[in-house]
Amino acid sequence: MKVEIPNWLKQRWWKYTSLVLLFYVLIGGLIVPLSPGIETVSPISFRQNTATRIEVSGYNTHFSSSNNTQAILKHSGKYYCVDEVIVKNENLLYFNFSFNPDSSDKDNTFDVIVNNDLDGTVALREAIVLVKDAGNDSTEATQACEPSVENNLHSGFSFPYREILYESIRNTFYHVPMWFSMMLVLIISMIYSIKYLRSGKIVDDIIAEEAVNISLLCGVLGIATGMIWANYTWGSPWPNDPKLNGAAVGVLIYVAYLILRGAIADSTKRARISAVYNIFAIVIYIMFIFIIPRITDSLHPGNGGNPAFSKYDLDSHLRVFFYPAVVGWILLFTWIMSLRVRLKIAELKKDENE
Amino acid sequence: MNKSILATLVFTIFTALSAQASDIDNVMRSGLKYPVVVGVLLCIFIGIGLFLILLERRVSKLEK
Repeated sequence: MKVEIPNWLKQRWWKYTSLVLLFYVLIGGLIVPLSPGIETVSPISFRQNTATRIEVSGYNTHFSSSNNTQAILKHSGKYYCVDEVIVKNENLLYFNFSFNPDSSDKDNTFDVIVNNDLDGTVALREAIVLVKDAGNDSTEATQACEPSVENNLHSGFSFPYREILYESIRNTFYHVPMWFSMMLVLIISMIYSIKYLRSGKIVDDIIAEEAVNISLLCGVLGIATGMIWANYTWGSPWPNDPKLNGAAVGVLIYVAYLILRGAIADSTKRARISAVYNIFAIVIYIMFIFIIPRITDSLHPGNGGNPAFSKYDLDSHLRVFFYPAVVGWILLFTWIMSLRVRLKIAELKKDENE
Repeated sequence: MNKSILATLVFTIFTALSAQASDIDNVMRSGLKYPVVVGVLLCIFIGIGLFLILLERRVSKLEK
């Protein structure tokens, strides 16, 4: 029996491309700083009509380097100027203010906004809460102001500063491509299963099996990176989320594929039955990963009514590294798959020669 | 035999590293955290890359 290895598995250029791309992503994705943002505000509540000092801790900010650092409060869609801003250092400032609400004002949360030439505008939404005093409505309500802002944007190349995510936003280059890679490798597996059913060539069955093996590696790495990320952002490594549960079921479906293969002794029968299983498995996998999370509530971006990454979080600076990461990881996993396929074919040829 | 030697070696290294934890903590918190993380990841990545390149060459030789 003559076993021919597909030519694309032997080519090297795309394999080395994966290393170059991932090297670029690894270095660039880690050294690009995060945009400035407000980390914490203290205290988080104040009494009406009482002079209050609020401490603002910034992240990657330039409060003292910039000459025109100003603090503004946003409340019920209106801006309120503070009395005094005291800049302590690059990442710390205080501001003093007092506020008396309108009697018709039902909202009691304030966004804290800091603006300067270097950082642009940074804000912490619903950062402080107003504690209203009952029966103190006789005092005149604080008037809104119109702050003068010259620059709203941060100068320099940086990744977006997102509440909850913070520095972990860099995991986008690792966690998301794992699932993209898994999907692509599973599609390769399905294509070769169909090819096997059409041609009966053993090499097609070997590629289909090894693609599933590599897809499981991607799945395990995707789950691991996701669990670490979820623990940091959502407070639990495995919250009850349909996307997470769907991913786990998807991985188990392909574990069952391998168990099925192991349970059939006859090689031709094994290849045929597993090829048919593989074609059905990808349909169920797509349902669990892409369809069910979109029709129920989900914590994941782009699912359950949440905005997708592309709208808010995947800004143009992240894309510079995200797309090479996707291509790089896909090529790297396909490379590992190609090595396993070629080794298996070499073993097969050795057995035949003996 | 080889496996038990390897296991002992790994155990010893991890014990030594955990004993040094406070020193490492100091290094990580003294502003060198980022270069350490980038350096470790770079070493792992270069290791994986070299391993794959070597494996690719060996498999090519085997095929010939």
